[in-house]
Amino acid sequence: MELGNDLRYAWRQLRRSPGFAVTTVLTLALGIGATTTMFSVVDQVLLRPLPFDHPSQLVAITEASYEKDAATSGGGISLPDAEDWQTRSHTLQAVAYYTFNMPIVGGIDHSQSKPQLPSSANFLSTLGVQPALGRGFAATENSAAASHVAVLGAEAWRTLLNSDPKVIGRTITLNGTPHTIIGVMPESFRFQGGSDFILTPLDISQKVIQDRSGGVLNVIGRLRPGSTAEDATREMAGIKQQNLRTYPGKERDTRVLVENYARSLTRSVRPGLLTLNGLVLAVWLLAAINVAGLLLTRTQGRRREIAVRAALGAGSSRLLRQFLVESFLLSLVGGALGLAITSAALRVSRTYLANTFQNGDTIHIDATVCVYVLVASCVSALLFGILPALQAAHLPILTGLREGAAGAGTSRRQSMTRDAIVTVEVALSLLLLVAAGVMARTLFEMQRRPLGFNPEKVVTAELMLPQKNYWFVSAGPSNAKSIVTALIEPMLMRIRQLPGVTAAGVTTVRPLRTNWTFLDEVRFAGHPKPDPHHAQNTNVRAATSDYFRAMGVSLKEGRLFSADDSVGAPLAAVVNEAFTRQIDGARSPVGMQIEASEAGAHKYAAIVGVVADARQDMNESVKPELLLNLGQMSPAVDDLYPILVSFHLDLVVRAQVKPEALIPAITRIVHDLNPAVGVNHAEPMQTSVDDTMGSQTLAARLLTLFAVAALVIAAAGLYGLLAYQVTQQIRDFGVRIALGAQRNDVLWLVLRRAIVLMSVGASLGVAASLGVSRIARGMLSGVDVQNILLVIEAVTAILAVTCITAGYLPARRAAQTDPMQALRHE
Amino acid sequence: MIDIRNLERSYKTGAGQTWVLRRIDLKIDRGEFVTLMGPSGAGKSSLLNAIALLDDQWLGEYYFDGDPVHAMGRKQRAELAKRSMGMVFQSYHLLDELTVAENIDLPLSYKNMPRAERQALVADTLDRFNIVGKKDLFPSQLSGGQQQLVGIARAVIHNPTLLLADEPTGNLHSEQAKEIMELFKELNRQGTTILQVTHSETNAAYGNRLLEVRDGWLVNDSSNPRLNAAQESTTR
Ligand SMILES: Nc1ncnc2c1ncn2[C@@H]1O[C@H](COP(=O)(O)OP(=O)(O)OP(=O)(O)O)[C@@H](O)[C@H]1O
Ligand SMILES: [Mg+2]
Repeated sequence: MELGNDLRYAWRQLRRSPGFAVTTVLTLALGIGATTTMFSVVDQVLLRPLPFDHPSQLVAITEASYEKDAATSGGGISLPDAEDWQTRSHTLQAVAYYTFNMPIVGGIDHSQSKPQLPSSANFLSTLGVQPALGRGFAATENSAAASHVAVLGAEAWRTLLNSDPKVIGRTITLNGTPHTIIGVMPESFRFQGGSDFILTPLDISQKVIQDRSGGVLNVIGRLRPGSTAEDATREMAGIKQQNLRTYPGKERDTRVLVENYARSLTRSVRPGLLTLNGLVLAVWLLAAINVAGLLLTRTQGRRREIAVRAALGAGSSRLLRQFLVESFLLSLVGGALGLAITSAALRVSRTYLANTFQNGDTIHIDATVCVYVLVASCVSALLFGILPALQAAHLPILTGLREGAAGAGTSRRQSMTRDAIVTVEVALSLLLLVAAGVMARTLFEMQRRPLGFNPEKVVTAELMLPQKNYWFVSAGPSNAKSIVTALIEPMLMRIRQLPGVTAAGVTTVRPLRTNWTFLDEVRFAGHPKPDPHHAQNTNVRAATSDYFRAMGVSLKEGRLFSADDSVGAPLAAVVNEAFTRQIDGARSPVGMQIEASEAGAHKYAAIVGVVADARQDMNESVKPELLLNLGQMSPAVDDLYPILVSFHLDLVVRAQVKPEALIPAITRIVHDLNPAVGVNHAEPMQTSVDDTMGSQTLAARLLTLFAVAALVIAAAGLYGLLAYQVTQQIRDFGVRIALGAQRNDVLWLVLRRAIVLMSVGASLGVAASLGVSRIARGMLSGVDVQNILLVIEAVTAILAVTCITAGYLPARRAAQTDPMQALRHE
Repeated sequence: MIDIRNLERSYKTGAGQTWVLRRIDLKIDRGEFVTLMGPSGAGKSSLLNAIALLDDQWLGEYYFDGDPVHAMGRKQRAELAKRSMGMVFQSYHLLDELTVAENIDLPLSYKNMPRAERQALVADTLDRFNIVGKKDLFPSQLSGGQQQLVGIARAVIHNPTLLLADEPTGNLHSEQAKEIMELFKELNRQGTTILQVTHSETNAAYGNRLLEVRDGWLVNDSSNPRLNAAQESTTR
């Protein structure tokens, strides 16, 4: 019943001291807002169960070479392997597979390219989902004759067919082949971060798919109840051993990894997210500690009030309650504001989240987040409120009632608590600053490293190829027309004739493109097949001879592709410097023969030159790269042709004019040659560079923002403490000055305290930073000790300057005490 | 109502101990209006605080209405004080953040009393002390005399049997002091036992019994002439 009174009184108290209330609420809002933002991301990216039936039973099954984990392994699973698992496994109740394709969809208003997932017939039933309209696939539909049916994802249904409710039975074409729509998935079904795709049954009668030594499939399994991923991993190893004996030379000697499916999706973001989460929790803790300090100061100022209440019959539990009510009020207001901060933070970082996390575009404030805010607010209130409340509840009455008690000194224990609080604040903010500094510096260094190409005056475009007649799944390689003669050569010739164009080339994957990469094992002619433990991988790409000049990638050694590399001549290849470093730092790879096909004229490619490392990614070091001469390749001789030139090419054009101006002309040329080719993301290369950087730096900026907030909080804490103490001791200073103390002596008296507290806090912070960095170094690539030490030095300097400034202000006030004024104070 | 035997109070100072109350024996009956006097530092406030149960570091025996206070725990003492005593302070000690009405309500808010009953009591008291018009003002908007009036209203709202006042007029000029003393006299007439500390002979004249403390000893009691003689012999 008295709670209402307490609440009303608490509210009035806060309104009467708006400075205190605003500082406290903002500090809390910042702390709670930061941790709530992180919680939204962590909860919805890492913790949320996937929208499938019994998601914990779902596993991803991958193969990896013995020394690398799945994250860095390339290549997929072969169909015979997947079928063996399906029939022989006891731990898995179902095994499903799918691949990926990017066809042009026709038979609708506007033809456009759309992701296609050719999959096993049991794909949807394994996930435990059902179409919202129509039906899923029948087992018989994984065949050449019956596979021309399609199930649409909800987003694809919307974008392709305007959510037409009478869509079942309608026919669309995928790369020209008619498919009958038999189903539409519900809105809730998202796979790999979206629902904008078309599901079709995979035609498993194709020869390439049946090849045991190849492999293009992604495999998902469902564990039997009671089985674990570890059980399945062990079982798969057994099946692998049997297969190695039964199919020598065919079955690949790899490690089969079975991993919880949800975990496999978040593996790459998990460590970074958890680190950031830890840092944000530190900000929150700092905010709570700082508010505790402010409250303790305030309790000191309210000693008379507390004593009067106690004298009038308020028991200690009553007082405790009253002060906790104030804390809760502060915290809930702070929490509400924190939620607003979260909402703003999520809005600002929408693009970043969408690009970084699967389903990142859907992160929003939901009921769980609201509950979290409430809990975080209450925990904060207890965290910062309990100590001051306990202190208030147990203040000695008589001292409080003594005349002029508000001005009387603070007890030793109380002042030690305050000192400890400021010290911890300084230490924590130093830790945060170091973390932010290291991250920013690492990113900065990454970005400062040369791009390896020259984006100035370059325009690029992504060409999405129609796959009929080109891709191996739709047509056998032998009767496919080469894209080089059909499209690339005439296109480049006409582009080069455009005014202002100085070079034009094509590559399968341009720099700063992280998708579409193809990783293959390196095998040199005359060398025995390396055992799986020592296999080296390289990115394999193909490019036309003019590509390097167009992109501004410089030659380091040997030569680029030339006119001598005719279709009949041996296949030429260039490698990047990272490739050279991987095989052997000292020996030049020029002249080496590297395996490019199983057999035939292009079994080996000759390495003719070494080019500069063009960045594939902004925040990782450059990986080995092998570029084959695209002009020489044809579907008839090159095994890699269908893989590299399957559906996607990057056009690169260098000009003397503003590159944007060329885009309409280039698009016209492409569509003149083949209207079915999609021209996507035609833009200056510089734009791509800026975009890639932008999304990388947002994380660093956020962290820096947190760290600066932490510094401000710590400085405010130090300032608050000293300012309070100066007020308390103003009479002492007056007396000292009246008795002849120099004003500088008084100034130094106060400042000395600031310096001592700052030094102790900073030492603790440095020790903690070194400890944490030892742990973090294992997780973050590219962070070295030298870097950390440099950052610690810089950060300590910033902290020292800030703290001394925060201490100087009250010190100056102490020194300016008017002795007459101070003595009249009583 | 109060029976104190051999009450002593000391403070630890440095190495030794300073005695501020020595072997106090004191009986106060219901309905008395007692004045406590003595030089500064004699121990008047110390004795008052001990009787008010604000201090619990004393030694000796203390019976309140026959109940042994010295044998009570913290909680029981707090209960007793809450129920039977009211305190008036020299510097009023009104809470600045509360209105007059809320200040008066404060002791009731620490009792389990139904809301309606409380409101009625507050309204009654405001009326009784003639401060209805001031009920929504804050202490800073009142004169010193008015503030002390509120302080007294707050002290007696729960109808305590014992009213304790430490220099209640110390911060007031004589005109205001006179009003307060008249009020005390009226309260006493209505049955409240009063123990006040004062330096003013004029104020003392309102009471019906005078005690004098010196250096921690109770040296004079107007209603117990024998004490004076005994005391004189001990101090000599
Ligand atoms: N907290 C304390 N620690 C040590 N000594 C104390 C403390 N409080 C009071 N004393 C001592 O107790 C003695 C009595 O103090 P008390 O306040 O009871 O005097 P008083 O008679 O009320 O004086 P005044 O008329 O000035 O109010 C004094 O000598 C004082 O120094
Ligand atoms: Mg006194």
